[in-house]
Amino acid sequence: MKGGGEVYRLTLAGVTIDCRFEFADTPRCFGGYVSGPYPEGECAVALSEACRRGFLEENAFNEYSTFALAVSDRLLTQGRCVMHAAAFRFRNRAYLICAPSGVGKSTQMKTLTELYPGEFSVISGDRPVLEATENGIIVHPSPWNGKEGWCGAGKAKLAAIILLKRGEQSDLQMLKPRSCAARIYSSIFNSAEDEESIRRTAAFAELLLKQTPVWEFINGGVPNSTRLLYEKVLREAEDYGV
Amino acid sequence: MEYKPREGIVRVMVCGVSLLVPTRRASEECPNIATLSMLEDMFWFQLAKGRSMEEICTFYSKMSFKPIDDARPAVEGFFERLYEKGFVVAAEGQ
Repeated sequence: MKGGGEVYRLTLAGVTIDCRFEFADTPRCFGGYVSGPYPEGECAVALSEACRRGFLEENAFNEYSTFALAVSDRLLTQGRCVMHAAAFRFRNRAYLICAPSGVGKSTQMKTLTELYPGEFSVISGDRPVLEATENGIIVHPSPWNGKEGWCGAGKAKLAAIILLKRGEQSDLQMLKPRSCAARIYSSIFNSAEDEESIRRTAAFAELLLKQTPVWEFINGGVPNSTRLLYEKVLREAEDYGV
Repeated sequence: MEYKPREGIVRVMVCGVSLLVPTRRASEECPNIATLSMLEDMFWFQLAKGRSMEEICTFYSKMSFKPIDDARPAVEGFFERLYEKGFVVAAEGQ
């Protein structure tokens, strides 16, 4: 059912964005992140025609899902962004697992929680919000939590990014920023509507890479690969006092 | 063949690496992001300035102290790959 065009307020990582939704059920998908409606108000973000073209089907769920692009564009003007990653919390630090859909982010997250019960909590299963601060990059929860709906942990300072890919043999290697710049850029949501949007995204990617170690994680199969991740990345981060 | 950058391809730097990123409109024909080496970045810079293939080959030949016929494959090969992926288009008159 189409909406009445009222304005809702979406609050993410301390930023409030006025949004207008096409579908009446879309606000419900955002849960506690949205308030309203406000019958009068200037709408700052509405789903652009460009984003709308990406719909598989025009419905509330797809509007909620693709709204991440428009929201991230707005957040990028304020030192924040939406990232395509699974974000988890381990000993008060945040870690991001980045990979295209279907490569195994959720499987790794699930295996970590099974192998090491009580040590991990999920900040966001699919699209956390990142905030650049003077004290580092903070990873915030968001309303986009993937098909499993994993969420619940509070924000935490980012310790490392893990780029996941499948392979024959499990391996972990720290990458230089130069060799993962394109992958990190691609993981940041942005509409790429114009040159300015692209430049803001690149600036955030650079900020992220300058402050955060990045690991390439080749997954040769769980649970051994997950144990390798735990021992080599998570324990090492602890040793370095990250 | 002479080339020119496709409209909507943006060159950005991230941690010293040049990326070619398409705007949403350009991504309909060029859905990829390209990472350029330092040399490829120089070639792209020359193309963006409107230089011809021959001028870019001459530039590379002088820079690398190679005879122009030895320099040519690197330049032409790079732009052929970019053409296949949609980052450049044939220049007018081609």
